Amino acid sequence: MKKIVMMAFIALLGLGVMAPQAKAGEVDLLVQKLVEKGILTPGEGATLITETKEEVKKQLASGKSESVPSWVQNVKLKGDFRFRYQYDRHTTTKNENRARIRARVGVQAKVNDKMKVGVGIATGKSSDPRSTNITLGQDGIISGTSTSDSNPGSFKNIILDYAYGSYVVNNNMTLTVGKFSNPLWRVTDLLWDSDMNPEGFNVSLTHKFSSSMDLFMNNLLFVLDENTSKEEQKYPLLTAIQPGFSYKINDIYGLKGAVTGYFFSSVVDRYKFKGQSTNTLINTNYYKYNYNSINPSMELSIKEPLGGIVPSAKIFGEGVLNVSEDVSAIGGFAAGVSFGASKVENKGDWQAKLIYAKLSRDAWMDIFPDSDRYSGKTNMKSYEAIFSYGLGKNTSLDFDYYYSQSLSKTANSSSGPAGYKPSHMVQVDWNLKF
Amino acid sequence: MKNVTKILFIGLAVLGIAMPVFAEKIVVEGSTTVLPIAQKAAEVYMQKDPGADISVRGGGSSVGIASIIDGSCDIADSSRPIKDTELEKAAANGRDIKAHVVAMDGIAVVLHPSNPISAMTKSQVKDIFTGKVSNWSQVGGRNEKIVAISRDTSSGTFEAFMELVLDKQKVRPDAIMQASNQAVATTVARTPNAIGYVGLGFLSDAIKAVTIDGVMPSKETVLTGTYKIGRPLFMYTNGAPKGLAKEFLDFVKGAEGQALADELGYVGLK
Repeated sequence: MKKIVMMAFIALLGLGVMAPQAKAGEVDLLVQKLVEKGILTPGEGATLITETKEEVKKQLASGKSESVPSWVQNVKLKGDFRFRYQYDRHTTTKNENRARIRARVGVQAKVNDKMKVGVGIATGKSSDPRSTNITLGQDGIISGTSTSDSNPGSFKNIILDYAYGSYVVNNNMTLTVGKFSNPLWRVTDLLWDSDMNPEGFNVSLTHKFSSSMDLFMNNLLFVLDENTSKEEQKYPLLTAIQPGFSYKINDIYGLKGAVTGYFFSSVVDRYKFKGQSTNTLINTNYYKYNYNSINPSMELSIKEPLGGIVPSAKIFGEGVLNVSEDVSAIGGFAAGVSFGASKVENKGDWQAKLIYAKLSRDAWMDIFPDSDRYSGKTNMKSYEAIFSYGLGKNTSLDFDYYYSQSLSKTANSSSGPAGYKPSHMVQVDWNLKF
Repeated sequence: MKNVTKILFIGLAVLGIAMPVFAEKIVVEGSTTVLPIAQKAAEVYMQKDPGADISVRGGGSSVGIASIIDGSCDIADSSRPIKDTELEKAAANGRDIKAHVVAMDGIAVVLHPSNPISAMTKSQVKDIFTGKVSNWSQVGGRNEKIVAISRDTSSGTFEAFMELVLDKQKVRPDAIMQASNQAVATTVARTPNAIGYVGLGFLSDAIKAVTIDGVMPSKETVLTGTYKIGRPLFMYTNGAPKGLAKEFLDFVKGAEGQALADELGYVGLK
């Protein structure tokens, strides 16, 4: 009799007579009653309740729930807001105090089990792919350059941050096309500003080599400009190939590494890109060198180092070497350490990070690096200290300090005296994510 | 007749060589908490069925679940429920992940029998093990210094206790770390002011289990969820298990497998 009741009960669940969410709650009560009456053993009850909850979760995750509209199940909304106070001190220009905001909203929609579409918008200027900041009150008012620049309470620009389609070919291969977040694994922002979203396509490959070793490879094609180059009548492109690995040495240590090969085409002799600042040009406006580079990166993660005083630590570094012909100043690197939580996600989580970075003038194309580090220029060295503190779930307070200077001494000029033009930047951010 | 014998002999020899080649093999991977159950069950199962080849390895729950999603194992051991993000990834990969509860992890808080305290709250236990409380008088006991006995950080019991009681906070630095449940029980039994925690299978008359938030730890209270220091342990498969995976899971969930779970200090479902 017991078995018959139980089988009938399971059959009802299997037929999905009840809606999934209701099912989980009602099953708890029903099972408790059945256990109390001795029809089910406590073990059978615990099994039924837990396995039913897992089944409901699976239905919701796979978009098969009957109680929630399928479009809700298939669409995910995410975004963030950041309020920033920023202080810049330069030797050659006026010091600045700025209040800045950033807002980003995006949706990711599941087309079917194999395909997804993502679209995101953000504050920012279409002319600056390395920043989504909006300065409150406009820059002109704060710096006081001209009252004619003022436009109190002006509307701010919203730009298309990303738009892509992705296709999961199989367990090991995903193809993404459009404008998407940078798929390359990076340990610092020496080469890439985190706001820079490449345009083109990427094929990412993964392979589980063993229980402790995962292999990956990213293959990115970045269309740099729709206009053909001056000489060769070809589109300027960046191709990046990044093989890497992630190795769990033991319960405490983990090692991740990659070597990225960057290959630029149709850049030499091309008219400079918007944002160009320090790369060497010929005839004032045309790129002299190519930027084909090798970029090895490594990160050692340690759980509970220093006798468990901190939850985790990382030691990381990367180098870049321009291997193109006839380039004189060709190298750069960044190295750093971080302590604290691996991610600042909840109240009381904290993380401290120190980074030293150095990039020679033509080691890398100057339109890509972190725009906060010496205005995103090459030919610089920089120290950065970051401290993040979790104020609550999904909200944090971040302090970021940069001290940067030029690698080459400049002569006296109308923009300032001779020297290495050091600069200080302090950023205090309140981040809120959803 | 000679020829028939010869053919039979050769046939048997070929069969003998071929059998291991055709023996079914499964890989069980994941949680170190579930690992002892999987290892012991595989050992006993393979003694019963020498043709079966069950490879069991640890790596952690996340590793096991990642493996079942990418198809590199047949059964994933996990001491936590699968996450929504993992289920979404599985669905995107065309995987139909099915959960099987194989035992419960129930942990009893134990004192020396001479200790007058017999009831505690989860919050008091947390305060003791995180170092906020260091004298028994602060929780209604005698004016004696508390001696905290803990499992070592690599154990599944420690991991569960951290999650279920300590809210992932650190264990007090002066806690005495022991390498096994039995060692914790023995140390508590010999130390009048000690407090420790052990799997339910390690309770004995030499130590005293206390009620937590009014509920005494027992197989029944863990299974019904009234005792809160407990959690289900899972094995996940891709779809309904078949072949050796099904037979092995049936064995683990059956009377013999559940008795093994009890022996190892877990709470069996039977």
